[in-house]
Amino acid sequence: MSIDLSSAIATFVTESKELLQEMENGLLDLESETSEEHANEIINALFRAIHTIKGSAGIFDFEHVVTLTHIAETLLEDARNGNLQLGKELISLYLETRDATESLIVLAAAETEPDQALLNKVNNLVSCFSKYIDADNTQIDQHTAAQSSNEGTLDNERWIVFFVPNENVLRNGLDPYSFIHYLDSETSNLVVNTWLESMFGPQQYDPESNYLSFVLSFDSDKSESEILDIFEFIQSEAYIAVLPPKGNIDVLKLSIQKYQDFDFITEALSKADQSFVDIVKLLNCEGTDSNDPPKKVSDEPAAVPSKIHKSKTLRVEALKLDRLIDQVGEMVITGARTNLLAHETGNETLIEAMALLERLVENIRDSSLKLRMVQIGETFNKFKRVVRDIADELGKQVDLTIIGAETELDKTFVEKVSDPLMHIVRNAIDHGIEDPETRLAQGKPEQGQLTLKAYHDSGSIVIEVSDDGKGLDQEKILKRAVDRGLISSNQTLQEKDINLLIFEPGFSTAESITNISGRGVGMDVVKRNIDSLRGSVEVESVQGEGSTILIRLPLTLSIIDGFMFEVHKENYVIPLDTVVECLELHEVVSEQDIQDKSYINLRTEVLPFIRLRTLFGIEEQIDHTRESLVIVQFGTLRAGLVVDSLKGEFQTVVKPLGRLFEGLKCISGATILGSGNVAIILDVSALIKSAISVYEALEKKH
Amino acid sequence: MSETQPDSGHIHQKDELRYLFVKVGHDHFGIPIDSVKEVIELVETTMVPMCSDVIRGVINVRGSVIPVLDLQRRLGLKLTTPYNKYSCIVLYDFYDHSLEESMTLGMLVNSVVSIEFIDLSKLESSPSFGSNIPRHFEWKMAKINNKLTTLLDIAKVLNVNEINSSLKHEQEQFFIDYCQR
Repeated sequence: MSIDLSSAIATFVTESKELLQEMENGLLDLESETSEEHANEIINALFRAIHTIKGSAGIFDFEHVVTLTHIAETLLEDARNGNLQLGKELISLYLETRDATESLIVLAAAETEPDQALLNKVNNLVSCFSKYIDADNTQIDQHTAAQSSNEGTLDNERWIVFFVPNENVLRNGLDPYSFIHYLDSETSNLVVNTWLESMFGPQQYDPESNYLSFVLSFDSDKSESEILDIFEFIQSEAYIAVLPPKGNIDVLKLSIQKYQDFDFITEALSKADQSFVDIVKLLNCEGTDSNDPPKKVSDEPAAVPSKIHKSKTLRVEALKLDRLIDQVGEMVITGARTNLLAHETGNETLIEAMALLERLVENIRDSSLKLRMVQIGETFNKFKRVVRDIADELGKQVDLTIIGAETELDKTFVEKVSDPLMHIVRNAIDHGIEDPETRLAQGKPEQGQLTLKAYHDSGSIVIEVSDDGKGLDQEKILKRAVDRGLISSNQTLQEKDINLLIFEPGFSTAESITNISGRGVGMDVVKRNIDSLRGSVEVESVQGEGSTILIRLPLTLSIIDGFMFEVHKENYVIPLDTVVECLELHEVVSEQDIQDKSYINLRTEVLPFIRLRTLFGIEEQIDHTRESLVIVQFGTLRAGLVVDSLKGEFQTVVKPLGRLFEGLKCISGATILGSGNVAIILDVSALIKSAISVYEALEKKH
Repeated sequence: MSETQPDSGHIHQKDELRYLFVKVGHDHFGIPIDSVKEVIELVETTMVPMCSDVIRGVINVRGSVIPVLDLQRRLGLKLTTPYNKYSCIVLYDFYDHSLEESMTLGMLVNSVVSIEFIDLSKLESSPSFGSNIPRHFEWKMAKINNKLTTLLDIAKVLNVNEINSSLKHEQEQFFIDYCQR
């Protein structure tokens, strides 16, 4: 019998990759985590991840994966029980395991046997784990032995049962009361303390949810297991702990944490048994000599917000999303056309209804575009590992700070920006940040700082990579550029442009080529990838203090808010957020003043402009008084565009122009207007930059 | 990709080929009909700024933006005839092997003449000199009713890479012209 498992395996691979990624993040967080509570939470998450992978791999009979994850899980369990501290060494071991597991899974899914090198590695890892486990077991034995002889017992006379049913017990057909009732019939002098405060909590009351938790105390001559049997059916749905007379203090401590209200539990316990009257004191004096974490049972409810963010997500094929966005785009176009027709009829009610519809369409557009937006945090988190590994390899100390991880950007960008970022980060660590000795000698802290930062800025997304290393050596760059023939020796460049030379292909100032960088291939990839996304790169650097690389990307590729204007009877669209203001040209400058100059004096600021009519090679001129000026800004560039007339805002669905026009710098796409005609979308930054570079090139010739 | 799409008129197993005959300038030319998606009337095109006049513009065909080539300019005809109400845009679907992408381009022609069956065995090679269009655009000559008609090597005529690089060069020229004024 053969069942086609291929699709299930594919799902397993993607899921495992995600889990492994989670695991990596967890491990790296763990390294820097100081709070024990959070550390435990992370270890639990790690455990779950590894356990899930093991389970799924078992289903598909991926033998190697199971072996490796099993032993890793076993050791992790010790850590989970608090018998083992995950130090740096172990974390490295787990990171290696993570990598090995990933390769094993990929190989197994492709039905390929792992090669000998990988197998050796796996065996190596397994034996490392076994070593730890053996060492650990002896420790545990000592530990438990020590504990049993310890006076960790209480002097209570009555039985106590801590009974905290889950919220869902009622929905699952279990009634806590029936268990208590049964307990009452089996034992004597039952005292029930019920905590019901959470029923009045801020959230809406749901009659099907259970809000109660109990502390039961009674006298009985039954054994502990007999008492537990009473609760057998609800065991999986509740926290149940039995504290027999002269019970163990650890049970008590553990159970107290299950209740959300510390005042309640102290009172309930004092009612339950006389020896618990001074429960707080009891716990405190016991707590000091125990190596358990100090009780953090304070006035605030125990519901500490979970640090590991759990958002509900739905896996959707990217293709389906793209199709949806295409369709929404069509709807926007058709909507614009219908609107136009409605206006032609002059029917007020129809126009009003259309306005409403337009607004709805706009909302749908925005929310469907948001579907494609993902947080950049995931991409940034990957660099924790990269930074750690490269820094270790180079013997440098680097601390990575991530700011703005929640900044959202289009999914296509996330994929394409990850590569360039990798090159930049590598370069920053390899060439930017100095080794600890040099840093100390220069009066800098031993540990280098690398910051990844993302934020929104006037319609674009900016990603910053900054380090506090030695910065760019401009003289060296210039010299190298002249050597390589990238520029001529008598050329004078602005600081900004010198820095940009590092993005030229084959450019490297590193004296030696290392494993990590220096070949000069990386940075031109950066430039190319960013350019292909219609973005731009800037470099700021202060020698001796560090450098910052700024990547500026547009918000989205498919639908933008555009601004439309007309030149020689054709419509053109530019992104609305590049537009600063619009003016009538003749109001700013008279025809006699302007002559053939291409700049104006706008509020004492010099503003160069491009007359699109002339640039597009249209001979026919129009009257000066009819010309309008659109002032645009991109990054720090500001310039004017002289156009025939202004049309205003326009929701623009970007249609690709195809391969025929690929690489044409100033034309970024096309859009379809309500009338069915096509309008060209102009790339403002490229337009201005091209004009500047051509001017400069011409000047040099003269 | 789809094997039924010939990249040019070369590979044909059948003895007979169907060609769409169009009038460009004053002459007739044959275009292999297999990949002709449709023929539409000349609609208003949108000019793409800073492009050579080989590109007539772009049009909207049911929601996609399709570039339209002016075939008279593309074939480099010296004397051009203005387009009129008989002019058509031939939408041509093809798969470009160098780009590994299928695409649709429009070709603006003066008029559509006929659809002809062409006997493969009766093809003649194009003149070694004296033709009014560049020789690499010609594939073969077909003789119909004693009249010779050039069959176009459409892969060469619609060479996207070549057109693209000339457009880039052209755009640069627009900027230089502008700045030199």
